[in-house]
Amino acid sequence: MKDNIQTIVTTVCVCICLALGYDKAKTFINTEPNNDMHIIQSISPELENVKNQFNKIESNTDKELIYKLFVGSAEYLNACETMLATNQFDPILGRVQSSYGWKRDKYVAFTDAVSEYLISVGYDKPKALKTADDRKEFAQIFQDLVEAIK
Amino acid sequence: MSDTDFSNLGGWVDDPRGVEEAMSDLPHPVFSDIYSSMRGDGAGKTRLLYNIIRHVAGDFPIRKQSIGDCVSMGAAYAVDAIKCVDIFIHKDFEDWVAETATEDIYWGSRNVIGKGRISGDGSLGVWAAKYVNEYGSLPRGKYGDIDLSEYSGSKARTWGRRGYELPEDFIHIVKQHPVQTISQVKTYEEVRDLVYNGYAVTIASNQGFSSRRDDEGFSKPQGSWSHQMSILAVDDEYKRPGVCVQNSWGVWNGGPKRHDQPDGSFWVDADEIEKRILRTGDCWAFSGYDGFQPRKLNTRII
Repeated sequence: MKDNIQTIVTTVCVCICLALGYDKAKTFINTEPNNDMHIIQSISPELENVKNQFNKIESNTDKELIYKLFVGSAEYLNACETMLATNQFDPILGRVQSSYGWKRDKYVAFTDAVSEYLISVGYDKPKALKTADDRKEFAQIFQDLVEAIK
Repeated sequence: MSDTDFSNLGGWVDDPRGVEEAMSDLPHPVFSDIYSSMRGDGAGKTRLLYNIIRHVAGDFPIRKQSIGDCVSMGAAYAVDAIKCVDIFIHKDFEDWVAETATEDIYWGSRNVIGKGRISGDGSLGVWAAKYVNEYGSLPRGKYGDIDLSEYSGSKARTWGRRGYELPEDFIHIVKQHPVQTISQVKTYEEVRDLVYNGYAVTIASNQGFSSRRDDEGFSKPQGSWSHQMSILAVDDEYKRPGVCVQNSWGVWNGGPKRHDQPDGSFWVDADEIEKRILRTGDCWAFSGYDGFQPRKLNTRII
């Protein structure tokens, strides 16, 4: 009898979990694509490496600044309508970093990881930023970095 | 400065029949054919193409020829200008690489277009214009075994010899970077409206100019040069309308400057440029350069 009750309880729980999961999945599937919403379903190995290397940085001040730089980049690129090509961004970022006294390659392994991620998403190939979608796609590169080191 | 002898640097060949012959198969041989859309655009306005070059290139290239290859020098300045206009004004997704090389233009004008008809130094303005239009031009740099990193007058002279050939793979690279249109110009108004619209103009004539600029940056017509140069600015706003002519003799002249004009340049009054130079028929407007895609971006950003 006890065994029967346990089986019934487990089955109900599994069903509830499945139902909730299905509901979430259904909601996600039925949701109209929204450009403002970003869901990382699975983190890429490159981003995983970024995350790991970021976690190895001991200085909380530096971690906070790196986070701010990536958040700032993503927000800037989302809002900016004047940039005509992706190659115009690096000098801007460089100037912001200098103003904070940040020197690139301070944490070489972390820089390597970010670089590998950027290459994996095609950041290294300059592109024209002609449409709002082009700009959002470019901003997303930095948004994903933000999500990885959150 | 005024005592220096520049007579060996005049390399423009005055050949009206040669010009006419070379013009015969151009799609818009005369600028007035396509003038209507921009007529009057530059009236009362100023356009400083040399400042656009400075902005895009980071500096203004001062050329100093050592043989009579002025035709290629004038053409190269015009290519520099339209390249920068494409990047800065037309927002073409291209990179400035380096100033335009001259030796290949000299070779192409004399041997490819001119078919080796000139034996001493020199060329025709139309031949250089046609070469950069039908073939192209390259920034200074190394292309396989061909090193165009630094100007060499002796290389230009050797390449300009009748029958001298350049490798096919080099010509293949050149052909990827043509000037899209060239047109003959004959009046100040045409030059004014063209330069205002981002065209650059090569000018060739036998007219010389004083090596001393006056208080307003102008040089008075003086002496005789068989020479090609380039117009890199127009100022139709000023009480004394005119154009800024860039020479390729280094810092050969002196005197007051206006609008932060580059070394080696001088302003010429509107009526003088038309009367003494544009009427030769060997003055050419260049526009549109098929440039270079930007290189890969730095990914070590943090």
